[in-house]
Amino acid sequence: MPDPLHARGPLSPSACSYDHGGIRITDMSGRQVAGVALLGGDRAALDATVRQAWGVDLPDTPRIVAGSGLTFAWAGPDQWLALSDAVDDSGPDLEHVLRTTLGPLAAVTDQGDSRVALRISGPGSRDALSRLLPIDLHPRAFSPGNTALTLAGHIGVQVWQVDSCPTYDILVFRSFARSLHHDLCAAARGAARAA
Amino acid sequence: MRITCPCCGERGLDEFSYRGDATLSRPAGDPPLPGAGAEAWAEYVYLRDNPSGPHRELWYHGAGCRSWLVVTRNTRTHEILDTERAVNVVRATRKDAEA
Ligand SMILES: [Zn+2]
Repeated sequence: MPDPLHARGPLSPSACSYDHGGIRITDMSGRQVAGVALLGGDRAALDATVRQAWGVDLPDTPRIVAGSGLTFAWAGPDQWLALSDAVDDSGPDLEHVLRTTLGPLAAVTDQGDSRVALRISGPGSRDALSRLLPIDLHPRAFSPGNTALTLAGHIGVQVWQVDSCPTYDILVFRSFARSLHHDLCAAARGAARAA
Repeated sequence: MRITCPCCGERGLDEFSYRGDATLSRPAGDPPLPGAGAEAWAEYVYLRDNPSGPHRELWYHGAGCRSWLVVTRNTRTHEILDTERAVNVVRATRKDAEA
């Protein structure tokens, strides 16, 4: 009798929670992610359809915009990532929704098995994240709604600020999630010691 | 060295990779189609100038927005004089050629 296969998260269950010294690190891997790319298509038509369906304008600068039921994150020129609001994989299939709504206007690819979101939140999270990211996270340079594609150590990430708590979400390739989680926890401990 | 990406802003060198001379233009007609001779192709593929001073170079923002950039860099000082998206440079060149 073969052993049944069970889906496992990108982080080991014991590694999932970190909550010390005013910094909380959370696994957001249930969130659905899909890529949307114009690929030389009609931008005006895409804008109009997105505005009608979700009530937002696709950003042309490194920003995230929250629409009804999903969030679009700028991910390069004429490229975006769409993220579901639900973090537990419960909502409708994001890729299917985008594909049926956008039709031939954009290339839609499911990124849910590729990328994982981690969240770092709390008063010390800016200090902790600053130890990993080479970009300026000071509020005058990076505030809620801003996003950046960059490196956390040697790991490629997309980060955005959610609120001024501050809370940041970090999107990382799934196979790097454990490494990044480990780095985030180490940075959080270091920041707490230095505070 | 830091490069200001037109899409992402100022970033460190480790986010970019150098992708060659941006001043080259591909000879007409891919072999074996008729077009430029072997000499022009050899020059395009193998021969590079080694300028002292401002130089136009291709850089790829692989750890950022994944854009190809044309960076004007002073090879003596590493000063970055200008950065534009390569796709816009190509579009502008095509427009000039059509005009
Ligand atoms: Zn860039």
